[in-house]
Amino acid sequence: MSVVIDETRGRRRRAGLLAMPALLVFGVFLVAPMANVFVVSLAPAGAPGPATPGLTLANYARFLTDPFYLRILLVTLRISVGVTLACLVLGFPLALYLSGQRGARRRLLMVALISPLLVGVVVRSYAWTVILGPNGLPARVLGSVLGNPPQILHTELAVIIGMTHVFLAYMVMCLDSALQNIDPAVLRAAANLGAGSLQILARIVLPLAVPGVLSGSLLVFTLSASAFVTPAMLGGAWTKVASYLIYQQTLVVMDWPFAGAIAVSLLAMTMLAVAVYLRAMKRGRLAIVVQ
Amino acid sequence: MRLSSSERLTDGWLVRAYAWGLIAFLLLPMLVVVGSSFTASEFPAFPPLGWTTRWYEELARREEFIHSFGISVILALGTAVGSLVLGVTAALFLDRTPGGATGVMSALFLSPLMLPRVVIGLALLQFFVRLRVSTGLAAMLIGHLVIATPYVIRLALASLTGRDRDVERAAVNLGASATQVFFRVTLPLAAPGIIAGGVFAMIVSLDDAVVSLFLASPRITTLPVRIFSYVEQGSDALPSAVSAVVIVITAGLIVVLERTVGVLRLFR
Repeated sequence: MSVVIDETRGRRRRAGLLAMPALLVFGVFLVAPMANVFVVSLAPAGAPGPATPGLTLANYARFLTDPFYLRILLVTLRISVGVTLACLVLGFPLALYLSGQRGARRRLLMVALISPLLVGVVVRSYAWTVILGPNGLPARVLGSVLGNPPQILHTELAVIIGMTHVFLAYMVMCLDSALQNIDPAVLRAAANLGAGSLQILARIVLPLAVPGVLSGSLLVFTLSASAFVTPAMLGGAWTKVASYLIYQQTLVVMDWPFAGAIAVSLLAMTMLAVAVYLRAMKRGRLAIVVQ
Repeated sequence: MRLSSSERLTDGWLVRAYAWGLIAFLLLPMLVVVGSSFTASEFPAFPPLGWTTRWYEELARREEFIHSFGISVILALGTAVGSLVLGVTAALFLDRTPGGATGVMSALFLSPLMLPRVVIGLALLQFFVRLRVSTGLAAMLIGHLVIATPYVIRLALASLTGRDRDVERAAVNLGASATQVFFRVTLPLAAPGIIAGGVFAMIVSLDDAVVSLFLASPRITTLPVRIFSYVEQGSDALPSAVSAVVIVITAGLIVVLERTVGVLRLFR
């Protein structure tokens, strides 16, 4: 009897040991720095270095009430919503196709879908500055039609296009995952009973795909809201998003408490989105494992 | 072959045409960049205005890009090794602990996936400065490990939880010791996820521009950050040449990985 108990205790101790490396690294280099950010955000605005004594919410107040910063928040949200919707609308038909494929063709599709992700966000965003810039094809073509070349680069639209390009793959994978869970027998039954393609889409596929729509939307929304490189390269001087503000305040202006307040606010927004998502999932009483 | 209405949803000509058209759209920017790297004009243009290889010659002269490329590769390899060590041990722990996959530890280990990279970069920079530690290669490596390890944990854990325990039980029945079972049955069964994790960790490290930007120092700058800074400051076509090199190397890596490890198999 005692042999079994000792065995279990020993095994549990050994399992615990396995957690040590990651626990150490994450504890020291993730938990501690995050706590530090929060503490520093409560310090009065000023130079970097050990926080000066005194706790204040002035940084948060400044970020959340100054119309200049609120506008940046609005732009960030607007872009995020735009990207999410674009990915949803553009990605759904592709996900439909992908969910019906198997074997080699499916793998080929996946690789094609993922390959833009593999070259890196900087290269990708740079590619869009070339395409959407004044010397790119769209501007040149539209310019000869309209007389004056339109300004596409350095606008919100450019940022939305650039981010849709990269996040489409994430949305398609989430949708595909949900679509795979649909029992093909149900679809076949509907077809047999005389339902047309659109009817099947609207009344069976879409409702059953809702978990994928929600998880994909959450993913793309949070990724868009926190994105830095693409908005920085495609947005230009007038289209600043929250993450760029954090960068500016940290490395240019050097107001670390304020930067921290923005960072914590951004985090709170992200967590709010996750909470909304989890609420929506629970409402539907769907037992889906969050990807 | 006439398709039923349900089959038309996933296999009809309209859906097929749309799908492949969208895929072409996804790959188009890479072609544009490669093409624009040959332009004779000062600024990047596609279709190129005149053909020349001067931008590649210019790139070969630029020490800082070659140096950054080296830094990126070193960091990628270091991140792969480090995150595999941290990630596989963590995944094994989560697999063996009842309720481990959904508990607090799991949330902690996977949290960087949900945290904005800007916030992680900011947090690490402030942390290192507060500790009077100057940022350099080690700091950069730590940053990369923090963002890459969760991917390894997720992929390794997926492989571990999905493995066939009967094979392990059979090994025990046939007299294998715990160590033998682990090294000769468990690890090989979890290998696809572990390898995928290692590959992902390398990609995350090579890709990252944000955390690397915050932790950059004059001597230690990764390639994405170098390209980013260059584009912010100027407007000539040199980044096209750099990007084209990255694209070609990435494509080459995909082909090599597929031929040797069969990475495509991982995308079930």
